[in-house]
Amino acid sequence: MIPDDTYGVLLVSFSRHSHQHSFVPLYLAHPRIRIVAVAEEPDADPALRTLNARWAKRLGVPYLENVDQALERRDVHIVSLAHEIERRAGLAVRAAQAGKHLWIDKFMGRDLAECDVVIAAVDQAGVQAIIPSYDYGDLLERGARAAADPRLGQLLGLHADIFFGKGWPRPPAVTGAVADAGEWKYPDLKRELLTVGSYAVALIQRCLGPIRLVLGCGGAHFFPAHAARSVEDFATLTLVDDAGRIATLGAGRVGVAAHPAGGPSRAWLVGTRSTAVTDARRPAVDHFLRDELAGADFHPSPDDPMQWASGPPAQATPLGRDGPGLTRALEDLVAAIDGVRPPAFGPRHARAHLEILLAGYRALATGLPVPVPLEEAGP
Amino acid sequence: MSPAAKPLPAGGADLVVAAAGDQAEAVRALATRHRLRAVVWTGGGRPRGADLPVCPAVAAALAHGPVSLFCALAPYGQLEADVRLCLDVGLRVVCAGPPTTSRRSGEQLAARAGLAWGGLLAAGPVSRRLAELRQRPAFGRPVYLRWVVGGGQGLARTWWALRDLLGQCAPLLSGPPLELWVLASRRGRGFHAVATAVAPDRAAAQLVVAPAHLPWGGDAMLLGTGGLLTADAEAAITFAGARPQVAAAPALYAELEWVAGALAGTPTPVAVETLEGDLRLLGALRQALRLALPVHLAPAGVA
Repeated sequence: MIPDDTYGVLLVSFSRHSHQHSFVPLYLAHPRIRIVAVAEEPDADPALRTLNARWAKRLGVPYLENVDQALERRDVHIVSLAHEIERRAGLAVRAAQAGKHLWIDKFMGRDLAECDVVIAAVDQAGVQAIIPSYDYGDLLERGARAAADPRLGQLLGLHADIFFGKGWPRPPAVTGAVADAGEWKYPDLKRELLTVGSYAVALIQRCLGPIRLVLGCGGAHFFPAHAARSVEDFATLTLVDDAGRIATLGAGRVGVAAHPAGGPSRAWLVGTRSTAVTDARRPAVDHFLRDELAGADFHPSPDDPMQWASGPPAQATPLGRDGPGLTRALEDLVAAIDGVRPPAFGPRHARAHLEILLAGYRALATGLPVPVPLEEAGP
Repeated sequence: MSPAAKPLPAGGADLVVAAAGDQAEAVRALATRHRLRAVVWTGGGRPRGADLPVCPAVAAALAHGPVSLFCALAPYGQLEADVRLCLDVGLRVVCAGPPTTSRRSGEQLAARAGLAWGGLLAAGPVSRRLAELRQRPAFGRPVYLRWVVGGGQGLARTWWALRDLLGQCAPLLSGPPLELWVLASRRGRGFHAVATAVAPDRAAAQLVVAPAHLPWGGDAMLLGTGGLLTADAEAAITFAGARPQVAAAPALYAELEWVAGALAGTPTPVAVETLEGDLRLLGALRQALRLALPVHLAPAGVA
């Protein structure tokens, strides 16, 4: 590819379980990216199809209810894949086989077998693929920098807490165990170790060596929907890498008005010479404006009770310009397509990342440490 | 006027203190309220700038004048012998952790009047304020405790710090841990230890001891269903320069309330169960270091 080429992006789905709406401004702002169409599978539910059509109209691009047909378009170079987890692997394989580069929202597939299929397809097709959400954000960038800083000494461990201050908790009277992974899609909830914990896992994955053991705790619930299904809205993991370094994380959806910037995003890196603390919500400008505070309505919209696509009022604005790192991620994909370097977080990284999370889920369900790779753990 | 010759502050007492060099700020805080007869720096030497009466050993320190209390903020090789010496001459003794790693010695010491150990973190303002706020109805039910402290220099000191952290589970979560996993690693004398604890209603704690000293009480966070409580190691005074340093106002050091409690209270003999739990925790730390794997402790193992 000639570096000055522009790349056409096909947006596959605006599913509620995805972040396609967050990617659109990135694509619009990038001088070498242009959105060329929106596509969806023909069996998507009517509400989703309506939403897709609305976005297509808003963007002034065609809407195609046939992904394969969309993949035949010569003006499509990149597929921005943001469907439900259960559909992603199949769509990624089809896109790769059509010779399209991939921007995959969060998880490549619902299990390791699906990840392996995507990896094989991407390798065979020789396309570039990036899973942009985890490796480019402020917390990870700062954490990685601190881990490499000689003032830290040798890294002994890393401890991270990332909470989404969203939703309005109504804690159930009874707490209980957390079921293993397997079901990701629910209409009214997300599995929050996967949704929120994944950021901390990526930081741990970057700074430590390969993880070899995972321990998990969960079951103290914020939301009745999660408790009713024995799935987690909050969990904590303890991990050990192949060099004996120790990591811990706490992650979940903890309710609005619990933090001025929408939830802490903080990590401690323990070294032989010092302990570094990094906070992705700082530096920030704190704002306490009486009329705003006194009149603020923290209640989530009835249309988005868990605030998947919205957030509460904040009293601190972090100064970083690209907190989630999506702009950096897009630059990374463009550079990869240009042939400059492979993406920092591609399919193999994503597979390893999911494996850690799956081990975490198994640990939550069993109450026992789970070895990684998972094949070592047995069925 | 030498520090030891200063008049006794109102309400203060004559102390002999054993402390590590990185606890100099806490020792200075004690000196604002008490008369320090002597400070024994457990690592030897003398911290820079510490205008305190230094003595190489507790036995010699007892000759400096009347002493009300011997307090050990950090463990050291001679500690058990010094504790016995002080008890023998009728002094009260308070240690930030168990003064011995021997079960037999521990049982003997635990039975002696005038000795108490532990409770340093609990006496501090962070712990007390967290415990108060945790009771507010708006806090809801506790879900998660995170606490990161320094002090991981040597196994014994790491043990004391981890023990102290675990003591926060009962007042801040729904009760003492029902499940406890201990992990540890070391490089030279620097120890990194983690306790992952689960309370009766599935609330969890991730408690971390880092080798490097963290100012003041470290970083603490308590998450409940109704919101979040946080306290970080940023303290009252920050010296921003080529080598930034932070210091807390003396009154904020946990050591002050801890010593005050030791002086005011009637120390009750240490419970055998407490000693038992302390030693099992030490055993778990040793095993975790050896195996580089999490070590599970049954509930009886938690102090």
